[in-house]
Amino acid sequence: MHWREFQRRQKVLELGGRFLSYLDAGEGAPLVLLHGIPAWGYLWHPLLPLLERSHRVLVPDLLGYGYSDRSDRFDRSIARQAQALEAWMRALGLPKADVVGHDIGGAVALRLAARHRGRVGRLCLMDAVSYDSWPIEPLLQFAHPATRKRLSAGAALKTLRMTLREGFRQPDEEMIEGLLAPYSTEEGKLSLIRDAIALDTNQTMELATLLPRLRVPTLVLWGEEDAFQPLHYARRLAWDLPMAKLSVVAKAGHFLMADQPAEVGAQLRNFLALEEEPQALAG
Amino acid sequence: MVPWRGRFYNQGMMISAKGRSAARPPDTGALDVDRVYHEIRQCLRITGVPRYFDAWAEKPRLLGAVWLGARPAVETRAFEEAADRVRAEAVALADPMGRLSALGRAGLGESQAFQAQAAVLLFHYLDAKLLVLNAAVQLALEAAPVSRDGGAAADCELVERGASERMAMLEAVDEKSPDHVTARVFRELKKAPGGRLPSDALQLALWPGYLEAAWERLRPLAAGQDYARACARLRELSRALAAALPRPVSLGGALGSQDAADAAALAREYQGALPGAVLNAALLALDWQAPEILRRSPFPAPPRGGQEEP
Repeated sequence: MHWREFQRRQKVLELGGRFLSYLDAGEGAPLVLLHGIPAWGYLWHPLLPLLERSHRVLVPDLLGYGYSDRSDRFDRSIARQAQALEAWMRALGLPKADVVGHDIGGAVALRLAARHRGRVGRLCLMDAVSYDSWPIEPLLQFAHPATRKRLSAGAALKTLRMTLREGFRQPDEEMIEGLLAPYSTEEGKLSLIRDAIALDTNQTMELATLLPRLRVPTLVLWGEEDAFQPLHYARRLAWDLPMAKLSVVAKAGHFLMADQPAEVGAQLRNFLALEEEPQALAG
Repeated sequence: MVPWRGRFYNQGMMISAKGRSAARPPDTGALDVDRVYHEIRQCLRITGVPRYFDAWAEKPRLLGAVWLGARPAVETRAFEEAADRVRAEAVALADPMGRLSALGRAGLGESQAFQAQAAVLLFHYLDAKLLVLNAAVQLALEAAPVSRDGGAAADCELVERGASERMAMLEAVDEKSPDHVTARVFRELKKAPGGRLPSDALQLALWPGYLEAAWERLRPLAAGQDYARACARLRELSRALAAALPRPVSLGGALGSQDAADAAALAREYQGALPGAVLNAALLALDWQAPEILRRSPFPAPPRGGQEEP
């Protein structure tokens, strides 16, 4: 799917003076898919055909990302994103949903599960940021105040494209182009800089003590060759979360849904369809 | 190991070595253009700086002189109300011209339409202010007599600085758009005197189908007599309102003869182009909004030190 078609399918909801764009497709139990940085809901398009057969798939652009509100003067931290998602779910009349989070979307999902009890049914963390695994170096550099002046939108895109390619085992140029589309203007670049500035490791570190008490069935799904979020963080998450199972996807990088869509989709569907709780990873 | 370190900075240094950054206009000279642009956003109460000021900034002396001369007028209630009158007149003139139905023809999705409408409202607000501002600058360059000097205290009430939180971001696609539809519309727009792409077209190009639908409907309309008369009326009204501002724009002999000639040419160019932009914004907004609502300011200005509008 071309990114413009994905954008055309997005709905919009106003939340406390901000607006949030999201895709709402399929019927069935609600399933929320959360993207990371630098991305937007389009990240999930390889899995949509499979997932919308069995679920009502809801794919929001986080505040400050993609085609959600990208203006100034609001908090873009993962803590605020979790609060905004909770309000969005409430506005849509969703008391509970299964949630899949990738990259910082994983941390948002984890905060939603930990801080808003009962909102998350099943949780899947895909190559998620956690503990002190983030922000990665390119985003730290992007968050530097001088970036706005030093890099034109075109130069920033070029650099971000190079960075994103490292996240794929086999770079998908059309997908990379789509992921960066909302950030191609000067204002889009500025919004992404604000997003990067809001990345705060403390907000995942403070969750660490809560993880052993989080009784939510969780699948930790990881690309074996992730260059951004090393596999040992996946093992640590699966160890700390009492109802977690780790599954490593071979021949996949950080963007495993693009590298191995069939494998990732099948694993996700199996997990979401499970009646029983997954077995915790031993050792 | 991925070679992250230095990637962004090296890229930045490469750009600096070329002596320019695309984030700001060229030839900035000694003027702190960033600072002036910040003040423009604050005083005009907008989310970004339109191309109108980039044109002045091509010669930073002109930008500096025009902005310093115009700023005292721009931040007054009287200026805001003058723009409100131009906007209301534009709606009254556009209403009988019929509906463009461009938004419907563009086939936008719900979120796209929401954002495109917000962009049109931004220009509905902004372009009327630019027209009054430009008329005031033109009067100053002509050294035309103005009705008042200094103004009564009530007329000089200042409005709050900064854009409304509900205003869309002012965005612009790359002029060298790879989208073939957009590129075609841009080529046609550049045939206008001055050859500059206006900010509204650069923003509407975020939704190429909408830009195309709007252009296809506006182009024949703009060739008609009614449209030309409406533009003339807006031009005349903006001059009359600018002449009555309690704080007239004053260039105070800040420009040399060549600069004054260049400034006069630029002001004349925009006095030709801006009435059409004001009218177009009204025509586009009438696609989904009632005229009686559009006659009111979409972003009313609270008094300085007061509360933001609800």
